[in-house]
Amino acid sequence: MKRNYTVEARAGVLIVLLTFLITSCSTQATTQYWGQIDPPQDNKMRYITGSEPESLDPSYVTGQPEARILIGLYDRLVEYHPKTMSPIPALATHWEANEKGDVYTFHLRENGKFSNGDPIKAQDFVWSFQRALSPELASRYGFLGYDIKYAEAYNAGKAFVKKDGKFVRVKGAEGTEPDQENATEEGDNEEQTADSETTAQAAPSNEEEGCTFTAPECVTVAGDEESRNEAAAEDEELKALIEGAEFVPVEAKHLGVEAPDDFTVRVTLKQSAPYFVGLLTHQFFAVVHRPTIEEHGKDWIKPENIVTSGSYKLKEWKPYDSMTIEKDPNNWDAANVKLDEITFYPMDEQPTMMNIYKAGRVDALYNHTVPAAWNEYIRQFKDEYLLHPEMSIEYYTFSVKKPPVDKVEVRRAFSLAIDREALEKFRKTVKKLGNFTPEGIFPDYEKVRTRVFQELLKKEGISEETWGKRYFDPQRACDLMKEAGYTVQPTDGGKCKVTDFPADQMTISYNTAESNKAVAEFVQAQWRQNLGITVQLKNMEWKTYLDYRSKVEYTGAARAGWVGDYMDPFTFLSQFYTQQNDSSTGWWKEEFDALLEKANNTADPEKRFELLAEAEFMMLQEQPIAPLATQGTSWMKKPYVKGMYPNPGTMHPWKFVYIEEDRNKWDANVDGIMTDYTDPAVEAQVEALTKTQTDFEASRKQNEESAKAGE
Amino acid sequence: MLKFILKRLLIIVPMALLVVTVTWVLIRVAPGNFYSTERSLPPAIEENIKKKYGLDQPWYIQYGTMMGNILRLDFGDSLKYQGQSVNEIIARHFPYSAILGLLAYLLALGIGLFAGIVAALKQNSAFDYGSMAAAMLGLSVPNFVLGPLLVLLFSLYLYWLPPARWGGPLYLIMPVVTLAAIYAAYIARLTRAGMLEVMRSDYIRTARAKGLKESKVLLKHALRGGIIPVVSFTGPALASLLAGTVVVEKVFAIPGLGNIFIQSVLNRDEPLILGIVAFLSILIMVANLIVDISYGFLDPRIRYE
Amino acid sequence: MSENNGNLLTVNDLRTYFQTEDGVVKAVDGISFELKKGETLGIVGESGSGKSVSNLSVMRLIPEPPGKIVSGDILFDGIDVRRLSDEEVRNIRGKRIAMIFQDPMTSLNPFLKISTQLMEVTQIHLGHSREQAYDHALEMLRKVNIPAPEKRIDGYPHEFSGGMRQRVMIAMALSCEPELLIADEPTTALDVTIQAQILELIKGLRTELGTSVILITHDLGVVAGMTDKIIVMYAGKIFESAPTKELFAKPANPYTKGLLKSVPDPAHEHGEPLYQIPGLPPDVANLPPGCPFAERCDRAEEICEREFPPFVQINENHHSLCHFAKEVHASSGGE
Repeated sequence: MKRNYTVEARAGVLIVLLTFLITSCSTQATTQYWGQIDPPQDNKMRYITGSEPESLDPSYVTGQPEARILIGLYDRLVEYHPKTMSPIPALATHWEANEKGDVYTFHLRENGKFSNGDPIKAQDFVWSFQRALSPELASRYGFLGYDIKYAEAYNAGKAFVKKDGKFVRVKGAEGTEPDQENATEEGDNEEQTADSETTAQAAPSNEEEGCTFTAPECVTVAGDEESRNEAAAEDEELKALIEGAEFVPVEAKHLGVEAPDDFTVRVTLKQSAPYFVGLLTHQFFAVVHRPTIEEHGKDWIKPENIVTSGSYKLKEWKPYDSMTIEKDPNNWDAANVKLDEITFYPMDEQPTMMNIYKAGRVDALYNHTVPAAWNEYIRQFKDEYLLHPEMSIEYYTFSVKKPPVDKVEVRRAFSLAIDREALEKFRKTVKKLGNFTPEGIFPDYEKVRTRVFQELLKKEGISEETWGKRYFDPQRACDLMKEAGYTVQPTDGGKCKVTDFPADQMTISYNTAESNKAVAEFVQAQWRQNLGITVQLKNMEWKTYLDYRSKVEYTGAARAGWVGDYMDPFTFLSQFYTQQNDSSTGWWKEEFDALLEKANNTADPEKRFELLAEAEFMMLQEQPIAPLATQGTSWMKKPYVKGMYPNPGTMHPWKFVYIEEDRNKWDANVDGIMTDYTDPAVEAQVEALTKTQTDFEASRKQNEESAKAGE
Repeated sequence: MLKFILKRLLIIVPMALLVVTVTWVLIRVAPGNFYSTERSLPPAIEENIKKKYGLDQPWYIQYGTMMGNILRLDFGDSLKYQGQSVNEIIARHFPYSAILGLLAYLLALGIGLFAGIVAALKQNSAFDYGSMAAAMLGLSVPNFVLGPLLVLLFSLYLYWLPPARWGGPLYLIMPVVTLAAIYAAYIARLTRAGMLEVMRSDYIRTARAKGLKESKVLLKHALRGGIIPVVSFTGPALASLLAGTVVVEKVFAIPGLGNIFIQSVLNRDEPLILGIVAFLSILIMVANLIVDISYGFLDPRIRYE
Repeated sequence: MSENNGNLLTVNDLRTYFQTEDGVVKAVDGISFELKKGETLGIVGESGSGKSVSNLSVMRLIPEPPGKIVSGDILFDGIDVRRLSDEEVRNIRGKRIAMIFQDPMTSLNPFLKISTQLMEVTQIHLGHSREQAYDHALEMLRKVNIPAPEKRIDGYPHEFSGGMRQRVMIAMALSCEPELLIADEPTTALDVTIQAQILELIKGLRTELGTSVILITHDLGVVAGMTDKIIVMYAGKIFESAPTKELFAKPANPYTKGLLKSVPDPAHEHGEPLYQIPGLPPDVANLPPGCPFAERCDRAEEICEREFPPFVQINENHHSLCHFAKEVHASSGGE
């Protein structure tokens, strides 16, 4: 009897059908909340922060997953406001800048303690900053501290130049005083690459001061002889400078940080940097425990050795499984820290995370955990799903020096030929972007920018209407292609076909990821529809791609994203700063650099924003990039988790987070959580902390006024 | 037999070193490095990093140092996870994968052997068709589909089982089943085929002619020969089991070696990659040796010189 | 109860058919024979004649799909074998009826020791303990003339030569002193010198234990010295049955004559071709309506192809299935 394979096949089909039956759940939300909703009873929260942390050394790690844990473990001079992420007092009760804006003085509270009970003093901060910038630590975030005087020189292992027993100073440099009035002319900045060193001449100075940070700025050159000579071979002035000179290595002690007394930290900057206090919220500037590090070396972060300084301390670390931190009773703010414990699960697979959330085994997720395909369904859960603008943008870079995108008309045409509103609808979690800073994140800057752009548009003779259409203007795109010298055949709807465009000479590159692919295919379709140009796509794995793009090995467009490091537009615009910029475009402009430098030397915030806006406009006009979208946060938290906000960086200062057992007080309609309503408990807590700085500023103003009145 | 074992053991070390060398070359050739991030690093910082990790030496020195250390079983520290040595990481995470893999294979053997034997005995019965159809599905449904399906049903709909992570026995059920499925399917089909072939052979006829009970004919006489295909399958199955654990570990967020391995490659964490590669290749070679030896125990006709 | 007429085994009109992809194969299509206690019966025929199947049927060893004993009686010592339960059949197999097979290499389990395979027979049927069974196994090995059995008993089949293995099979079969031994081509796979030894062995044991033997072979030379009577089978049917001497002296069937002629004669002239029955064995799934041997028969006539031949009785113990049985009988003798 022959084996009846049809029976076998039928059985198989039956099993498959049954499976489909099980899995075909309706896409209509049938409940108010998604999944299990019982809050933990033990005041312990469970959170997924992202992939496994690489270390607990705050000055070394660069990832977001680690950053969120470290917010709880290490205190800094200032910390994040839970909603706006602007700096609020932490270990520093109040601070002030000198008039030039290049010296900041922080006053520490006296009850700061490490997790082992040791007091936190100003010297600890000095040592922590010195360590963070040390070349031995080789921290990838070193550049965050480069505003500090000699920070870059120290980090890069440079050396001072001594000629005839005298230190060579930067031309025209003046010493810095905490309260000096004069505006200084900037000396040239040292570059990091060996082949462009500063030129200088011996300037009269107070020699006993040496190269302290209060003295006029000393010139530095590469510390390593080989690279020094290599650079000198190309640079006559440099050669003359180092001829017969003595070299004194830049050391930690030269760094512009000092502790005039136990509870005062003073930071001297290379030049005025108005965003500087905001920078200090970053974990790079956290205070660490010197004796522990000196004793254990690289093993200091091990659970058995580690000493922390934050509202929480490490309880248990099971790599790749979980990390638990518990409330530190020694912390200065322990009374106000709500959660007893937080457990972090290291995960990055979206479906797995969503499943765990639904099953109620975790209380909140981090940003971008909701898969795009689930968006329609998940956004029905209005009490849990958080989609707010993020300090992160997506854009395409152009290889501006390589044809066929070397013509600005071509680049602008390509940018205008992308329908960003359609992209918004397609991607569901983003908002269209026409500038280079994320929309809605810097409201004060954006106000100024709107005004500045209006003026500049008038000057350039561009109508506001045209400018307003930069989100999608196929007609103009076609005109620009024509201007660029290509043959343009109009098609209907204002679109066209550019028949002789060498599309095969360029590609759209991106690193392999579902969303990147989707966007690339979208843009490819747009260019085909609107310009009749079909560009090939190219993708590769992440690290390979980074290499490829940063060296501008691509021709055409490449996908890029940028997340701000601190809450100031400069963190985005600095992408294009200096010839060695990070933009992966090959674009830079001296006038642009000049504007940025001027801006950072401007104390008045509004005037500063004006200069930044000018720079942004200049860059946008030259179109080295095509802005695409502002990212949305896209994550979920259970309604009983309060004090946790979808702020622009998804950075949660944990002391404000708590679990609400009373169902009536749960968060609802979280679309309005940032604007429509407030949590009195959190507001009060923030208020209590900021009071020290606001009171200080108020009293200072009063003193100034009474001083004036007294004249 | 002893000589055979010794010969095989001796070749393991050179083979592992060869594998490590090839991997090392591949890592060096692949673009990207462990410290790159979105922004390009200032060259000075890159210099600092290179110096710290000895990457500024010429490649042959780096290779030599690395090999020298490996021969002393020192794989160094992970480049990504500060302060953790490679040996420590492997020792900590391998048990998860081992438990997962072993349980899965045992389950697969249990189900597969049972289904295969019964199907062979009751050829063309409902059980036969049903189990072989299920086996066909088990073969064609990839584990990254099966896993989520199970999670959907048992975690998100019924709320019986936790959807991921490692904990007590409840956490193990779905990952083990997901991993075991394809092997159970293979083993069922192999066993059935093997048993059918054996049951047709002359010595089974002899056993029956001697008046033995059917169960004895099956268990004492047929099984030994019938499961040989399963034994020879175990060798390559173990290798693919390792690969299978990677997917299951990712889907279920289990802190096993497979998960770590993938992560280490994406991180370009060279010492960790090399350590895991060396470890796994030795593991596979030893496992294959054990399989070959057990072959000899099962089939007396095979004698190793 | 027993109606055995002193017969140990009576097979009456046995039909065993197989369902195959090509249709129904009538492997055994109505055969009948008797065997008395102590008698040795030879069953001769080419491959596909049904000789093995008929004996497997006696022991109910036919695999049920695709085969089936369709009709007929099998009476062993008065017991209706077809009506027995599975357990009862198993009690007979190996104990009262034993079978040895053609290829001892494949007929012995390569994965088990010889001792195990020998011991299990007496353990089940005679209730031996391990020690008893072991000793008995050694005893049997000695009986079949295996030298130094204590050294070899724990070996595996592949460590034995072909002849030795067959001896082992014989030892296994005779362990329980069965009343009937069925030997299916016991020497076909062995070379000639060993053949003689094995046959001698069987002869000796038969005498010693008083076993009835059915000896199945395609080789007439083998049955000549061993059997009391012979059945010649072709295409599932008995073509001739007669006492051995009579069959050799005065065959009554052209097929038998052909077989006899095919036995190489040492006195044969050098250079003269050896005789072969022309043609091939028939396709048992598609038999012609007349005599199955017709197309190969040198004596065939028109009637042979048209009509199925009758089973002619030549004398009391001699029958032949042929239209011309008597003529053939008459014309043979002295050849």
